[in-house]
Amino acid sequence: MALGVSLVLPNPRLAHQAHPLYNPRVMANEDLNQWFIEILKHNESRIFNLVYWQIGDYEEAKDLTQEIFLKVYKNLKKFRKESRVETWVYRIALNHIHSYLRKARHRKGMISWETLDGERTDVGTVDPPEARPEYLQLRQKIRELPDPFREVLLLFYFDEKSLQEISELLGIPVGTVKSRLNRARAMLKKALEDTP
Amino acid sequence: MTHEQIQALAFEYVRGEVDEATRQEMQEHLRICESCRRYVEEVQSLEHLLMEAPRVSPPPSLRADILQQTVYARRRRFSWRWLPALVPVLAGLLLVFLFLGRGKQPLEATSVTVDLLSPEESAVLFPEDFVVIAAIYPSLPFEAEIWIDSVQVQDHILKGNGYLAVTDLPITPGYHDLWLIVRVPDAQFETRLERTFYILETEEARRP
Ligand SMILES: [Zn+2]
Repeated sequence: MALGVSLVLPNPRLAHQAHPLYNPRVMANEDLNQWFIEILKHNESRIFNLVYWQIGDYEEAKDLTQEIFLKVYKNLKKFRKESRVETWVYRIALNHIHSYLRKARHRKGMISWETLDGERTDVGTVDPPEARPEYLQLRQKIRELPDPFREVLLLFYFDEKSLQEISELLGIPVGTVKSRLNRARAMLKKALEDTP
Repeated sequence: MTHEQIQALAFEYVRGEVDEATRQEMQEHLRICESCRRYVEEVQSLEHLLMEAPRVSPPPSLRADILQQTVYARRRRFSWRWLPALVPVLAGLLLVFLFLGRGKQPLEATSVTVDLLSPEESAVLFPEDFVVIAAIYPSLPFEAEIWIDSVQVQDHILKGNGYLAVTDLPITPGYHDLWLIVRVPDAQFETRLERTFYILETEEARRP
């Protein structure tokens, strides 16, 4: 029997399936590109949907999703395998939406949400199901929820994440997720009742 | 159970997430309490609205836009997409050179060059961008074999004076290996070139 040291190298094509030996820091650019494409394919639609229901504007949601994935691409080399890549992508997305909404609230004095909604309806060439009156109202009320509650509600109902998954994504205990979700529902229910 | 306790559990109740004992206790309360019953009905309809809310899909152009600014941004310094149009020009130029230098040197195997211009090594392509282009010079009669994933391609091959192109080949998403074998009998020359490339998914990956 021959003795020796064998070096097992992971297949870069399977890189998106977290491989313990896999280290993006030493990856070639081409492999990094292919990995990025895999990440994009798996998360693009869900991130867009999540952004859309938080922002409530199709065109803006498109731009934001684009910015989010540019950030992912830029930082992919720095990504450490301490968390799942999906968790990391969601964190980037949620942070990005946070800062967008914070800036938007600053501008709120000048442009009201109603104006934005009106503009959107004018521009809209298609008539998507989410443009139905009950969803327009739902979208607006969701957007008005405070950040921690809105996030949990959207991840749960609009991205079908479990309480456990949300807890991992946000780095908060499951119990907290549960109580935030309950608060969010109650707040949403009240907000919808208060508008005729 | 108090009205407050009932109402606090209303969402979990309509989602069927409370345990059996709690469920029965709640049911009993709801039978006798009008206001809690109404509360649970409202919760039910909000739950329904949330569950039925449509998923909003991004426009098909989004992925292409993102790729254009990331993966493609570095790769695309040289846009080979225009090569199909350029190949006849290239071949023409080669012919001119060839004509000028004709008869000056005897042909040796080493004087034949085959350039596989596309796909690039490890290229990431939309299916409609997939095209094989090779330039062969000097432009002597040649034979070529193209293999994709160990299957020889028989159709869609265009052979011209000093060039070869394969277009409109139906190709599935994923990784593919390409071999190009070119033989120039007059020069007793044979070469084999290899490429690995990646094809993106079709329907979502349309360019804007
Ligand atoms: Zn009651």
